[in-house]
Amino acid sequence: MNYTLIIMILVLALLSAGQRVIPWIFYSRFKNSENLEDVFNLFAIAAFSALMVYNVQSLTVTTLVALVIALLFAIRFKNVGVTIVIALLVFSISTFI
Amino acid sequence: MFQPQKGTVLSAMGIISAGYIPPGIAFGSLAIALHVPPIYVISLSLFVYSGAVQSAFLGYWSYGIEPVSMILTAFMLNLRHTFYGAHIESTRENVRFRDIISIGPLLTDEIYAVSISYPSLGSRKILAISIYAYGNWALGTIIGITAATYAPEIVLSILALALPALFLALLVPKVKKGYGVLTAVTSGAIALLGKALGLPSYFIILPILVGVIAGGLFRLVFSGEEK
Repeated sequence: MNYTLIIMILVLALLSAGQRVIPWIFYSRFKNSENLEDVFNLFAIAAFSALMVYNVQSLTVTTLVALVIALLFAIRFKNVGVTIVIALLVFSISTFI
Repeated sequence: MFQPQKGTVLSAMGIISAGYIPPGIAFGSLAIALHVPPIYVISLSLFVYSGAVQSAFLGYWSYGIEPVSMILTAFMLNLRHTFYGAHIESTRENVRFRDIISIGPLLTDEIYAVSISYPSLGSRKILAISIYAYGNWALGTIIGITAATYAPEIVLSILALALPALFLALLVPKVKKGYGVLTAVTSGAIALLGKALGLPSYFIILPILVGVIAGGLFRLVFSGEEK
């Protein structure tokens, strides 16, 4: 049993539930929600961008081409499943060739 | 307020299934490809229940979990959830405390989008759709775990690209304005620099914060033109 991992998952679970429920209970303090949405989106954009770069195992031409093509599909379809499938498809074809 | 038609609920469920099962499969299979034990993979989906935070967990897992950075990143990723409940409540009457307590923990991006898109859906129907979504996410994860467990090594090595592709797919729909592009580019460029220099895992918080500050300042200065 990895207790550190279990505690980490518990903390993340409490954090996720708490951040959804507690602010809602104090609804009256959150008036301008559309403005907050824009601000909070920035955190998500920055985190996803940094995590994407950090998780490219090796930066090769093949990886880059696969991600650029996936980016074009992501812009066109805005669908998580399609983007991942396209990236994997391009990467698989170039790996097997 | 008029009663929602059966078609409204069905179309909401269709949106939920399309949005939950494929990423659930991707998450489950990717976690197995990264050698996360299945019990933790399913625990993440059942207890954390946040695609963004779970994906971030995998991101940290693959190069070593640093608890403070992980929790701070999760906190920032979840920040957007803070206004969801308030926004849903502002579009409806008679939202009770027990609705907040029951729907709140299951309130995701998709549930928020469906609730705002269909204001005729009452609290009880939103709760039913939320539980349905939770089931879809768990089912997708289990399918992903099962598929990846029996996949050959070459397939797992190809699946490693799914993680950056997943972050790319999560990132693109959120970039709608100039300051979003600036945030993504700044954060990505600093992360690339950190990766090239081989900086430790906790460094990742820096590109995130600098990206947010750059985008926030741009938004503040050019807010007139952006809107």
